[in-house]
Amino acid sequence: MTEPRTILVDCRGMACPGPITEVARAYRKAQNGDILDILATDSAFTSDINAWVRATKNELIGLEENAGVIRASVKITAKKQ
Amino acid sequence: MRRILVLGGGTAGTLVANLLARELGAEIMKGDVEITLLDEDGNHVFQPNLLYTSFKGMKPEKIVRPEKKLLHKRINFSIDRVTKINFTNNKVITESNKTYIYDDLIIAVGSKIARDEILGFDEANLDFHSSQENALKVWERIQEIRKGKVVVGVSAFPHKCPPAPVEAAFLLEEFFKKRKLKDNVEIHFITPISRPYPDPTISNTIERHFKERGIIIHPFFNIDRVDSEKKIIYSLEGTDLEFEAMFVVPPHKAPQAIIDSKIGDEDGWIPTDKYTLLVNGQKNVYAIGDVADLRTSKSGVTAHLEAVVVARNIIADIRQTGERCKFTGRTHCPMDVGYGKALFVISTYDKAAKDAKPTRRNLLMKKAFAQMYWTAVGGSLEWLFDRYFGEDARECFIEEPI
Ligand SMILES: Cc1cc2nc3c(=O)[nH]c(=O)nc-3n(C[C@H](O)[C@H](O)[C@H](O)COP(=O)(O)OP(=O)(O)OC[C@H]3O[C@@H](n4cnc5c(N)ncnc54)[C@H](O)[C@@H]3O)c2cc1C
Repeated sequence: MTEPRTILVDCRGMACPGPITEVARAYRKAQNGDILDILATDSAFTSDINAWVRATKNELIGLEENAGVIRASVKITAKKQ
Repeated sequence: MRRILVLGGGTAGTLVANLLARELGAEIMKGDVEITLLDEDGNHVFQPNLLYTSFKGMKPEKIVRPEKKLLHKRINFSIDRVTKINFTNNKVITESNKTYIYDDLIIAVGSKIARDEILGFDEANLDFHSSQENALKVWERIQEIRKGKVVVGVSAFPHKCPPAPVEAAFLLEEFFKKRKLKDNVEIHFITPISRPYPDPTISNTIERHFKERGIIIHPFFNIDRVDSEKKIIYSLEGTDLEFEAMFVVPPHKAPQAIIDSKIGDEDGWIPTDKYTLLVNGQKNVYAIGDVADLRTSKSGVTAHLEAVVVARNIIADIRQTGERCKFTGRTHCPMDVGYGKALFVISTYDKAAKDAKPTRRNLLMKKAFAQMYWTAVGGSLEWLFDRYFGEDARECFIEEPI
């Protein structure tokens, strides 16, 4: 087990195939304890990330919007490892 | 002498090389320009038809042609796997230990299946993405299924042809229904995200059709490992799914040469300017097709449209015409929903996909594109594609002299 990391997932300017697919990609490679720091400009992202966190039972530790950029911080806690 | 080197003889590489060779005939004859294409195996597969080999029994030999026959005679062609790319000294090294020096490099080596990414996946799964041989195995396997759960879907993003997993579900449902096995065979669709298709609008349409046809969706299902003996898929989210057969799209990555050359991200996707298709930080290296890390679909149509942008920009540079073209991110992904109908997923970087209805006409168009493919990669149908895609595919303008 390596030290927890903060993984930047920059999805700004990305509409299709969608930031949530990048989150799923980063999740595969992350470990419990890691933080995904996600940036997105796609307006559907807020509801997507909320649904994703609820379903996967990871922890949403921050969600804010600033000048059209949505920033979500997710702590990975629920992976079966 | 300007040496243009193209790596990969798939959709993107073949078309870009042919467009350059057709247009730069005079320069090539004079010895001012040279075009070389390297491909690892010399066979060109029309991959969209892998779906029809897998689920409709199309003969595999119908979907492959020798690359040499598809290339203009002014192109130097070698079957030689690229093993190393070095941007610093403009060099490419191949398996046969040859070194190629380039002035312009176009990387079009596509994507590969990452077989070892998920424990047990490869032993349990049959894929319709990687080769005609594997597609044929899928076709043979589905003949044997009489009951149980058949699992399709996505194991990881990104993968080529976003509609393909959904098409597999639709075509399997049609297959089992026609064989009157629908009461005994269940089709399950797994995906790491909340919906069957990344685009929400298209996804709504698919969900409606899945519901009508009894295809069961498992959202937020990230495969952790597969037990091929017990026939169970375990997810990272802690859920399990038993299966009789599994035809899930495997994880993808870039070819090993890209990973070894350290010119891509950790999976090898090459960071590329989404408009010019120049590799970030490079002035004479382009990445087109699946291997580029672009925010658009990994598909043949986008590979095609990207090839045109790069060919036009290189030609303009050689002839100093001042023309510059930018790619718009245009997609045009056909989705066969079975029973003779299809829809098209059409978007650009700036325009999300609109809702699309499956129609018979769309499937006919999908088939017409397939018929035209071997001519299209030769580069002689651009007048037709220009009419069809219009300005949606690229923005071209004359750059003002500074
Ligand atoms: C089942 C399925 C259905 C599909 N349906 C559609 C569809 O309906 N519409 C659509 O637009 N797209 C579709 N696609 C996607 C489409 O086929 C690909 O996105 C497209 O072929 C990408 O083009 P490319 O040139 O980047 O890669 P490819 O066409 O895969 O070509 C890459 C080439 O590089 C060569 N190569 C690889 N590594 C090396 C190396 N180290 N050295 C030298 N050569 C190398 C390979 O031999 C290959 O010839 C489908 C794909 C599949 C699998």
